[in-house]
Amino acid sequence: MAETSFHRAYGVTEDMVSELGDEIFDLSHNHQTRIGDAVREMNWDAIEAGRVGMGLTDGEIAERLSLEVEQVTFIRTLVEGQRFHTGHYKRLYKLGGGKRYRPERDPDT
Amino acid sequence: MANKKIDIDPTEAKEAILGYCLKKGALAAGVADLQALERIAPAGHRPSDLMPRVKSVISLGVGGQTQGAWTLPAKAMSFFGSTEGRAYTIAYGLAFMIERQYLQRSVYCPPDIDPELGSRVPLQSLKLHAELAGIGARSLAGDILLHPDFGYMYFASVFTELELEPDKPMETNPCPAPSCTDMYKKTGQTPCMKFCPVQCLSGSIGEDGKQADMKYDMAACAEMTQQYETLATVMASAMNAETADEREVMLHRPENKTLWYKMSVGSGGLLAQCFECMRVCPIATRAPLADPILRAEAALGGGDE
Repeated sequence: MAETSFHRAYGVTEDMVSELGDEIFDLSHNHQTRIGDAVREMNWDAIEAGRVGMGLTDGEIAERLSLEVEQVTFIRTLVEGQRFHTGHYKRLYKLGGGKRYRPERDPDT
Repeated sequence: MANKKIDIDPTEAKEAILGYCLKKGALAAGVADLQALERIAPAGHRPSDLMPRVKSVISLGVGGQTQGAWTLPAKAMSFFGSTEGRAYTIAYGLAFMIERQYLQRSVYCPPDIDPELGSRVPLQSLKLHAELAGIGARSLAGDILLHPDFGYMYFASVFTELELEPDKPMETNPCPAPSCTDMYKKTGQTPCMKFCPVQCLSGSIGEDGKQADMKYDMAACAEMTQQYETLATVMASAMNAETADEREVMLHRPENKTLWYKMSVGSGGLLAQCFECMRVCPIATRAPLADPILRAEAALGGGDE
């Protein structure tokens, strides 16, 4: 994608999207890893230790990468849209009524 | 603030409030620990970020669909499988009930996205409210909350300036069910992991039979559960089509026409329409009070008698 007026409005270059897009996406809550059951157990040390794995807010990512929050939000939402496969949804049409998804039967996987 | 003061017994008030939820159709209700919520939720998504003088967060859960719904094809479930509207209705009424009865400001907590942050960041985590209120525990299925008696519920929250004694999170987590642990030991996957159409779930179960870790690819899940995100891509593709014919086909192909239908009727099927992880979850589908038939049987004193 070429740089747009929206990029410029947020102070984001296409190079920034290329270089930081994946990292921002991975740091966000698009990918979540929870260790144990810390919140239910009210284990405060584990809750704090698990924050990064559960995904950071745009503000937290901005602080980590020395960016403005709005820049992170812009890049994250841009990458979310770019990675969104509209074609996967049709898999649902063949499921249910006793049929379960099997990756080995899916020609797309 | 109300000009008139009335004496409120917090214990009686809590009983009346939770009783209202159950009377109106909730299966479970509780009060989350506000201090814990404020500490766990990230800045911008704490209850006080929405309601600065909030004193209590009440969470309630309603049951999922009927037992019969699980027998239907996924494409039918996509339109009606969610029952969250009932939870929101109860919460909406509860906010009015508290203001009328206790003269304390209250609000139905919007379950919606934060409009400044795209389509994947909610204003508040209703899940966190419910978990701390003790009416659900995080599962291996992307942290969907499960209840040992009611299985899979939909949640809503009310914020109020009325101070209520908080409940505690559930003492045990029903996930994984013993049959899921057995399957995990044999195959390395639980049913929810194995049958997810986009393989967005993974994780592990420890030697103690408890969840060791849960991994959730929320972006992949969104492809099945947040169909409204498809709209921008479809529109962009149509606008960028090389020919008018291509554009026409793009907009009129069957799966995209469905989008226009869903938008025009305001269908809830534009979000949360994939139930495949819950369809194979023994807690969601077979918890003792998971559906109306099971609840009726329990009320009659046991199903097999």
